[in-house]
Amino acid sequence: MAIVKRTTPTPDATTDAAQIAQDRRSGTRDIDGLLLQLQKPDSDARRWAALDLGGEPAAVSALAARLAFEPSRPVRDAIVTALVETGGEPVARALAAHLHSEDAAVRNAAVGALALIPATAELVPSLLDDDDPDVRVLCVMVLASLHDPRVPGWLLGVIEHDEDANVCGCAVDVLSEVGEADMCDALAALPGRFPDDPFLPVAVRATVVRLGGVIS
Amino acid sequence: MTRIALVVDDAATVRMYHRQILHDSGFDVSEAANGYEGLEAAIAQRFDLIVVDVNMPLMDGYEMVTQVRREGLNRTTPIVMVSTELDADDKTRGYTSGATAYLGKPVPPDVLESVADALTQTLP
Amino acid sequence: MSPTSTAAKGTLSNADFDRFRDWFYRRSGIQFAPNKRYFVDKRVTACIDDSGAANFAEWFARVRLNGDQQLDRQLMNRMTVHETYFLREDYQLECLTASALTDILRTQPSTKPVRILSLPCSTGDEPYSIAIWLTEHWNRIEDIDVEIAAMDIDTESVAAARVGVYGLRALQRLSLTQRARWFTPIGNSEFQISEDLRGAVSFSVGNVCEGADMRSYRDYDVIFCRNLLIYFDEVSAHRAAENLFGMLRPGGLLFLGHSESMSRVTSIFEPVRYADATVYRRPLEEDA
Repeated sequence: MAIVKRTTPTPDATTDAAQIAQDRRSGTRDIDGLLLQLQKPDSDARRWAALDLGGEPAAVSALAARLAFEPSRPVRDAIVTALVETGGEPVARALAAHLHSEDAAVRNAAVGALALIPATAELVPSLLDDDDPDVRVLCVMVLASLHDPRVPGWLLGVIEHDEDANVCGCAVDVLSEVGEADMCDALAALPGRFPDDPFLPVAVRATVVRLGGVIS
Repeated sequence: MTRIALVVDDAATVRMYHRQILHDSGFDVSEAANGYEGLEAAIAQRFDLIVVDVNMPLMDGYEMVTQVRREGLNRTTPIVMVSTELDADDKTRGYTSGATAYLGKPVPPDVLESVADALTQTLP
Repeated sequence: MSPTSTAAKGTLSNADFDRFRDWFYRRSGIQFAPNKRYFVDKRVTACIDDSGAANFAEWFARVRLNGDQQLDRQLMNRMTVHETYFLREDYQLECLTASALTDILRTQPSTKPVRILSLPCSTGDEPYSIAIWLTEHWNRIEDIDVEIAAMDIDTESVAAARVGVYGLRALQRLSLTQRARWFTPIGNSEFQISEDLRGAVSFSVGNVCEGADMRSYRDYDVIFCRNLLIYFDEVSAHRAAENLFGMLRPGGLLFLGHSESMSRVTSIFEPVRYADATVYRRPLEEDA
């Protein structure tokens, strides 16, 4: 039969894994060495280096900086994994800066990461106040996945005050999932703020119904 | 034969909005909530029309369309890209990635309907 | 009582059901046929009652906004079936031998054995099923070596897998011929899988979310990770996917469960469509 048991151990097997775990626990990771690896031409090496820098506050700015021009999708994702593992407000700030990036892939990576970091919540009010409506839309996209009981309230603030119809439309959509029944009146008032928008009345109607409200 | 459309947008209400318009035009409509899910749908089934948003998490519209155009069932399917961004660079980027048409969001129902019909007309 | 939960005890209002259904599809990939409404209502209201929440809205807020993992786990346990048995979702095994392995052989030297990993392997049903299927269906099994490894987080499951004794329920999808070929009856309606197969699969204990642990698993051509990610929260699922990527060689293929999709987790894998299955490929070497 050709189903055979492997007799030789995997290369880099348990010694590699055990060593990495040990280095992390005792704080003896070679941060500088790993940061150098992050610049190597071999994408696999960069990927492992990024993962090994997870949970390391000293590596946050280098990792966040690398995200801006890392061409490999798996490496970008590994950087996100590492930054999410570290977490905390400095990481959230570094990622929030990328919401202004010209590069859609970088913005997307930042949105994905921010949604997984609880500390992002501290930045939400200022992001929702950003002059750039594109940034505000991205913030609403983060709110669509962020776990925080303040999310519905923030979204309510958007539909009551934001001056951009598109930002409001995004907020309505998220509210159709996380909104509260007592927000139906505020929702119903929204299309009146943007009378030329063909989409908002449809979105509001669907959301109000979804929240168990009544359409007048 | 009934035409089939794929609507790709991260907002459920937008998908519903586009779905309604296309359904009223006689399409059967499938949905995907981001560019990656859209790509999964596009490699599994041939559509007559794909309507795709630009700004989506995980994989944006440009990336999805680029991949769809690379090979497979929907390499030549008409693709309508929709976006709130309408400057020349955005449109160029859309067309370069392989979009057939590029429309501003929110799309008025009659505009989407006529573009969908025009792009999926079968010649006699 | 909030306006949304005036429905009778044990049922959800239509609005609540719609909200739950759409969110749950996004959460798990599972869709409910219309005739499953009763099933869903019963199980969700049971979760609401167990949690002590006053109504659906409160319970849903805790699961969805607070990200309460305990409530999420209870919900997932109630909404999914946990059975393990031989030849489960065998359309994927069919895909393996009919298409996937052909691509695997195309992208690697033919002198190397094909390495397959099954996780979570639970009590061994899946890795042994792969071995049985390959032997019975793969036209290259005689000339290409296959290594099958299996991993689970639970030491007792792995121990049981090594012993390889199963009841009739686990074997329900095997024909009597298959049962006779691969198993020995050991009294009391129990059957032990053949010594050859027990000797051929390498079992180990491990946690797919632990990056350091997973470093020792490398260069797999195919990984089966079915109906595991669905139980994880977003951060753990992302970490697990990251590790699975590293465990595959470039060009290697990952099978997820029937309703699962990477579109809920990460875009680092390329989706590949074969006949009836979508499989996830680690891209071939790119290099920047």
